[in-house]
Amino acid sequence: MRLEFLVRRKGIDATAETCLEALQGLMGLAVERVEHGKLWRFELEGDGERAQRKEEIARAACRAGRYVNTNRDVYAWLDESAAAAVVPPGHSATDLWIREGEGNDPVAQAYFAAKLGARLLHLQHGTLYRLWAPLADPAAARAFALEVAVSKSRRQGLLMNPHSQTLEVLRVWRHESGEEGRY
Amino acid sequence: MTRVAVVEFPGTNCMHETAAALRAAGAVAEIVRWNAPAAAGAGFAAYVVAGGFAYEDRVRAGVIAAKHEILATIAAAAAAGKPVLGVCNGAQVLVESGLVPALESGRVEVALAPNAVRGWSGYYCGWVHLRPARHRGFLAGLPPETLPLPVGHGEGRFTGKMELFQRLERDGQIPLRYVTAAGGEASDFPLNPNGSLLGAAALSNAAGNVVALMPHPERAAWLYQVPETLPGAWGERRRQASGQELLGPGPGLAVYIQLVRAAAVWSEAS
Repeated sequence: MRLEFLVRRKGIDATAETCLEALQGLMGLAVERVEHGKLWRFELEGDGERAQRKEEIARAACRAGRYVNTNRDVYAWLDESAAAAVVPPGHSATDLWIREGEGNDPVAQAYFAAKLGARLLHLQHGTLYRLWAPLADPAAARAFALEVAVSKSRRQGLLMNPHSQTLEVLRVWRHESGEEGRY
Repeated sequence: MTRVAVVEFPGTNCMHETAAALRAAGAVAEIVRWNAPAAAGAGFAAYVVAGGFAYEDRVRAGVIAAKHEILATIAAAAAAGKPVLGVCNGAQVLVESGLVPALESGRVEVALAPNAVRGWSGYYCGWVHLRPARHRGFLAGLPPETLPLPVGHGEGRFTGKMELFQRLERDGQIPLRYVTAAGGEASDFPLNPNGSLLGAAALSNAAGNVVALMPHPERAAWLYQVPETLPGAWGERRRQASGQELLGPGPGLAVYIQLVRAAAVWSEAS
């Protein structure tokens, strides 16, 4: 079973706003809004007791503020409505997940493995960026997001350095359509 | 006198000590802020992008500053052959702007990734030892001795394709490498403090006039900045020194002296 746990800042996220300023102000790109957070992907053995596993992960992540500081952060599950993007007509939002290397973390893996009631097969984490753009077509939105993301030169790309990071396009959201499909 | 610009972005915090080290090396150093009119950043004989946390390291260290228009001025200066040095966060800016190693003009070709070493994670602050290697640029004039300098970074691991780093080594584009105090191979942490490929502490462009350096020479520009506990010749000099001797040059000053000399040579030639 795959569970994706998203940790975001409460209130205004300075990283998302700084990122938007760089994309619009310094690079002149038509990105309308940026959201950002830390995304954890848990691969667990078995398919049952999904709600219970979520509860265990959330409790372990929040314990002593280890991976979620509840004074500062909020968490959501990527497959639930709390993490859904609200997109105006004619626009889209693309979810990009950028990891250092493959996003493996042996310390976090060992910690969560000891706390969960099911065998933890694999754990990865990285940064989720959600980019809003005035593009209705999901394929165009995806291509635009990749252009925005991958640093190729001083003028091209911001969010990931391909020489040390990996990128996954998770979803493209459209107006009232919810998830448009995984790539 | 040779005019050198010390470039400051919001979050840069080493511009004053960098300017002080440059003045001690014989330059007229001026701090140029990121939002100064373009004319204010032009006409210098050399540029130093100082260390700190430009834009609070948001998104990735150095990447937002790399998009700033002042980098176009620095890129033009680099193309003209003027010396350009990026220290720590400044090194991250130069890497993210494609000015180093610049095998293909303007392309981002390597990364300064989060430290990845056995036994440590995250930010690391301490003294390291460097060995100068063959270099075509202004660091070629460094004395052939082990150079102790402080580091302080969380994203200082030069990384990319191994073949590319081997090529950089072969072509003299790794001017400084982490070593032991005696000059031996730095196999592991903390000798190599971040896990850089081939122990690279600095990379340069092919011409050698643009250098991205992770350690901080301006924090070792005077002998009193050297810790008494440091092993090696510089530690011994520090232990023997007292009074006014402590105001003498530290190991890091040599880096700025080389830069200022190269800038002066460039100015005369042009």
